[in-house]
Formats: sequence, C-alpha cells, structure tokens
Amino acid sequence: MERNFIKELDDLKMTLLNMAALTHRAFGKATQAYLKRDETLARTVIAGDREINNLELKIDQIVLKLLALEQPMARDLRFILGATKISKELERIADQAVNIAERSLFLCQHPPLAHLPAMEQLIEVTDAMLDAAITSFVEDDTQKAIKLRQMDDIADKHTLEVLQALINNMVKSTPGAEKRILNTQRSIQTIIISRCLERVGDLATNIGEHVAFIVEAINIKHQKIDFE
Amino acid sequence: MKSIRFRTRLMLSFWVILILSSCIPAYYIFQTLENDIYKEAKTNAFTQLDFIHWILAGKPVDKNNQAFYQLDQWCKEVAKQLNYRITVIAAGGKVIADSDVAYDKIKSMDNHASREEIINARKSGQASSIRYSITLKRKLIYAAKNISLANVPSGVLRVAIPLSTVESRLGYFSRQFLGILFVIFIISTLLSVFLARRLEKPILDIIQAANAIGEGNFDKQLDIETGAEFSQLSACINEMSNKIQQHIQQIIEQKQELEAVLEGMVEGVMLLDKYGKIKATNQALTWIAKCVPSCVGRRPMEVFLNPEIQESCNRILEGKDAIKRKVEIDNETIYEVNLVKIPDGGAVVVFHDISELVRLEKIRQDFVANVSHELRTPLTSIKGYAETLLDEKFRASDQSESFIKTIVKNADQMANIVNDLLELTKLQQQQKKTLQMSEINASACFSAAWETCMLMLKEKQIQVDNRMPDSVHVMAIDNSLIQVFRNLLDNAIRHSPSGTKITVFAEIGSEVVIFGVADEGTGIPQLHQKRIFERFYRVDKERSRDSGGTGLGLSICKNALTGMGGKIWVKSPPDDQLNGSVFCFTLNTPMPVESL
Repeated sequence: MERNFIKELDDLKMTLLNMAALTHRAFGKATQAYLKRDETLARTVIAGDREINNLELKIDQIVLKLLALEQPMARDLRFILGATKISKELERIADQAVNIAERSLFLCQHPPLAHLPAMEQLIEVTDAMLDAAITSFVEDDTQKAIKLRQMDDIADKHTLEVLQALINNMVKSTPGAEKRILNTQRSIQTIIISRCLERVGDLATNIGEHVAFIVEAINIKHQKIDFE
Repeated sequence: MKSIRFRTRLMLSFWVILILSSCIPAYYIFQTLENDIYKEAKTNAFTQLDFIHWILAGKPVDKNNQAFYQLDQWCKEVAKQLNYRITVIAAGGKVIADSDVAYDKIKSMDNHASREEIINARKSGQASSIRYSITLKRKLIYAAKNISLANVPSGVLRVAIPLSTVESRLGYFSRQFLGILFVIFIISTLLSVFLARRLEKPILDIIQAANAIGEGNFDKQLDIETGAEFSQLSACINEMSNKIQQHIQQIIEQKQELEAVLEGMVEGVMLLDKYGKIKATNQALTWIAKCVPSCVGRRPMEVFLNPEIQESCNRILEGKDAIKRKVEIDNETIYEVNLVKIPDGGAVVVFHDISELVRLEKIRQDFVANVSHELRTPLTSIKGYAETLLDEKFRASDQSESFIKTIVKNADQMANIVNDLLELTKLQQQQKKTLQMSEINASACFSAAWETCMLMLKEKQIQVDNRMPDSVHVMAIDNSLIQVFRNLLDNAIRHSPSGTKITVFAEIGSEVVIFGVADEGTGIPQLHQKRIFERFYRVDKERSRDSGGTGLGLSICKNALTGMGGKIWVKSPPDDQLNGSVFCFTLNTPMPVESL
C-alpha cells in the first residue's frame, strides 16, 4: 500500500514534469516562430497543444485518485494540491503559446515590421521566468520561486516598451490607406503577442507561488515580499 | 563461555590440571600410608597381646574369693608397666578386670559381648578393631584373644593401644601437603597470569592491526617475536595488509584513470541504476543538465526536462539493448544521445553535442542556395533585358539605352560578387600562411575608406562622427584594414535612414585596440546576429538586395580580421540605446620594441 502510494506520487511528478517540458518547448517554439517568421514551427505548436491538454487531464485523474484513496498528509498533500494548480498554470501557458503561434502565422504571411529590440528582451525574460519556475519546482528552490516576482516587473516594463514602440509605429503617417491598414493590423497582432508573453510571465510567477506553498507551506500570493 | 577472558580460562584450566595431578596421587598415598600404619599398629597390638597372654599364663593361681580382685590388680600392674589398657572379659561378656577402671566400678560396666573384637575373637581366637573410645575420648586399637588358661576363668583378654601417635603423623603429613598445594596454587596462578599476559599481548596487537587494516590504515606493521606461530601469523597479517594496500591502490588508480577519462571527455556521460535514477555523471554532463546542483539520485526527466530522453531511458530499462537518437535541448543545442544497457540492469547514456556539425551543415546548404540565388538574380534581369533588345524594333526606341544601363548595372553586380568571392578565397588561403604585418596608422586607413564612401554619404545625407584619435597604431595590413573600414561604413550607410549619423570610435588598450562603427539604423534581430558573418547570409532577404551589396562584406571583414589576429562582433541595439547597431573589432597593438 505504502509503496504503491510512493509510486503514484512519483508518477504524478513525472507526468507534471513531462507537461512542464512540453509546455516550455511549445513556448520556445512559438517565440522562435515569431522571431524567425517560421510558419511550420507555428503550426507544430498549434498541433502540439492537444498533448498538453491530455496531460492535464491525466494529472487531474491521478490527483483525484490519490486524494480519494490514500488520505495524504502534510507535504504529500501540499504536493498533490500544488500539482493540480501547477498543471492548470502550465495548460494556460500552453494556450498562450498557441495564441502566439497563431498571431505569428498571420505575421509570417505579411512583410515584417521594423525590428523590435524590446520584444526580444521580453521574450528572453519570459523564457527565463518559465525556466526558473520549472527548475524551482524540480529543485524545491523557494528563493528562485520568490525571485520570479522581480523578473515579472521587468517583463511588465518590456511589455510597455513594446506597446509604446508599436503605438508610435501606428501613429507614424504611412502613405496610402492600404498600407496603413496593413501596418495597423501587424502592429496590433504584435501587441497581442506581447500581451501573451506578459501573461506567460504572470503564470510563471503563479507557479513559483505554488512551489513556495509546496515546499515551505507558506502562501505568498497577493503579499508584499521584501527581497532583501 | 564466550565472554570469559582468555586469561581466566587459562587460569582455570591450570587449576583443574593441578587439582587432578596432585590430589589424586596424594589421596592414594594417604590411603596406603594410613593402611600401612594401621596394619603395623594392629600387628604391634597382637604382639603385645600375646606377650600379656604369656605373662598371664605364668601368674600364680588364687583359689580364694579374692581371685577376681587379684586378677584386676594384676591387670593394673601390668598396664602400669606397659602403659596400655588391659581388660579381661568373662565368657558371658561381663568385664571381670580392667586396668583403667577401679575395681568397685567394674561391676557397673556395660556388657562387652556385643563389641566387634570380642565377637570376632570368640569366633576365630583373636581379632582387632579400631574405634573411638568415649571413655577415653581418643581413637584406640583394640586387640582381643580367647583365653582358656587353668589359672584364670575362661573369657577374652583385650588390649587397647591408643592410635594417637599414628594419627598425629598423618595429620602432620596432610598439613604439609596442603601447605605445599597452596603454594603451588599461588605459583600456578601467577604463572598462568604471566603466560596469559604474554599470549594476550600479541593477540591484542593482532586485533589492533586487523582493526587498523579494516579502517584502511595500512602503515601499521606487526612485529611479534613471541613464539613461532605468532611471528608467522604476524608475518601473514603484514603480507595481507600489504597485498590489500596494493589492491586498493590499484583499484584507486584504475578509478582515477577512469574518472580522468570520463572527466576529460567532451561528451556528457551518465550512469543510470536499475530503478532509472542517475547513479553517476561526469563534469561535461552537468553543463548539459539544467542547472540542477546535484544530478545524482534524480530521474533524467528532472535533470533534462526532456520527455524524449526520459522515454528512451525507460525503453532501455524495459529491456532494449541500445538506442541512438537526436535530441534537442532548450531549442538550441542538439545532442546525439546514445543509450546502452549494462548487464546489472542499468544503462549508460552518452550525450554527444552535434549542434556545431548541424550548424556547419546548415551553413553549407545555405551557402550553395544563396550563392546561386545571388548570381541568378542579376543574370535573370540581364537575360530578360538582352532578349528584349534582340527585338530590332525595340532597339530603335529611346528605352534601349536605359535597358543597356540596367544590363551593365547587373553585370557590375555579378562582377562584384565574383570579385568579392575571389577576395574571400584569397583571405581564407592567406590565413593559413603567416601574414607580413607591419605597424600602421589605423586612422589613416579609415580616412582612405571614408573618401571612397563620400558619394554615398552625400546621397543619403549621412554625417560621419569620427571620434578616433589622429594616430592609432596597430599591427595590420593597410589594404585589408581599409577594406574592413570600407565594408563596415558601406553597410552602415546602406542600413541607415537618411539624415542620421554614423559614429566611429577607437578604444586603445594595452594589448588590443577596439574599433567601433555605430549606426542609427534598423538594427539586427538577435536571432540573426550570430549568422550575419556567414557568406551571403541576409537578415531580410527581400529588402537588402535592393540596397545593393554583395552579401559578402561582413564575411570578408571577418576573414581579414581573423588573418590579422583580430575579432569582430556586433551589438544590436548598442548598450544604452533602443535601436541601431554597432560593429566592433579588435586589432593587436604593436609589440614594444624591447620584447622583439
């Protein structure tokens, strides 16, 4: 009985890590699809979402079984509850990746906008955040999880920079009505991508909060944390 | 039994041997001695008895009433002389005369008929017995004889001789014996303690040495002189310790060699146990792994966050012999992962980084595609216009001149490409030889390059902000350096919007000088920054061809600089700016004269 419980817990962790790996990859591919203007990459992201959704269902199933049959205690209980929460966040991140891929598909089919350094920085930060969120879970590293909040502030800053740059781009007078419409369309799609990236940052921060809950049994949600 | 010390055991066995070896003979000797003494006493008693009997036979007869009285008096007289107790007992057992009892009390004495010696004497004429006399409170030997003399009433004559002399001799003997025994006991105890000590010391030494060996301390050598067996044993233990040390040393060396081999490998190696957890890794693997402080004891999934690796590991552990697959980690590095099953139910996983191979293959493929594309584009338009001009009617029109101009322009473009390609090949060949470099002024080279670009600068109204000092001495070849500056300026002008500024600067260090050409153009996406130095690599395929250029400028720069011992890189956007890009390169400063 006891061994079985441990095996089930291990199974849950493995499934969650699998989901995290796939989500991270989907996110990476989606951003690459945007940067490289690669349609095939964007399509693989959209097609791969189903697998991640299935993994979420599988995690729900394992969690329900564990809660119903084993009466877990203390850390095991927190881990099981945390696992459902984290899987939920991962599923949303994967959805955002699909969103980015869809916007990128549109952008690939049209001439590129001017190069946006802020967007590259935003992608870099959100990718680092997602990576930190997942490794904090693997390593039980609460400090890393808490630091995600700082990174989130940077991500928000870059999102605003992208927004400002694209508003400038739209306001800038472009000769010809047709070109103007195209310019606005592309700008808005890119703004949506930046918005998706910002959401990924928030969700990664949430994962960090769940990790803190699992490891330290503390709730850092909606609280001010002194980083010193 | 186990807990009894060796010393105690030795002592106890000494005692047992001592008791067995001394007490049994002693008992036997005592027994014989006692028998002999008693026998002698008995013979003596009978001799005395016979003598008294002879005296009694010669005693005159009293036929009066005083007969018993006289007999008693006689007894007392004889006994006084001989110092024995003499008793005459009538046939019925009644005492009629006794030397030790007053005459008037004899009548009140017990009947002696039931006494052992009397009964036996009646039967066989004479007998003896040894008894403790309550009357005299000592052990006596009684000897009795039938008398049938004429002068005395028939009955039994008895003599009682004290045994005390015999007894005291025996007591003396046994006291002596016990004394000696006690001394021997003490000596044997001391001897056993001493012997045990002597035996115990080597044994304790051996125990200590064995413990030391067990704890891995092989320096301790046993040196026991006591007894052939012990010195042999100590020699054995010493040899054993040496051999173990040798073996361990050998194993350690082998392990170190193996570790050195593993650590020296560029490939990441990881060992899985049969439960699918990581048992050991080498240094290279920890670089591949995602920043997990310690991989040991974790699952591959936790370390690499890669479902394909985990899946391959699972398949190996389920019984497949070997798997080879390509795995991409973090969307950037590609590994060829080899998994091999090991007999005791684990697996060895080797990660071979093939991203460089893949990258080079991609560059090669891209180069072939790009070069044909670059050459075909001008060729297509030349062919198109030339074919149109074949038409005689068209040749007469005003447009023919502009057509020919286009053909010339495209032919120039092709010639440029071919020239650049040749230049590049030349540079690449030069790199293999050592170049003859001299100390030159980089500032002068830049001015030369600047002049060639004047026309383009004027057309696009671009300002050049030259922040270079007037003399910057570097080791280089002047033509190559002019070419590098020209290419970088050319690129900067082509990618800058009209009316912007290009900044050129130099930072002079002790060993190298860093040059920089910064523009305020569109910038280069990070994705392309690594690849723009490749031949014909274009960031934006559609646009840049319109702006001219062969697509080889940066590649030439890179090769020229590598030949001169420098490096080139790009930063876009530059630090503290939102857009634009800066191309930086280094060149070595001239070596001080002394060191030459």
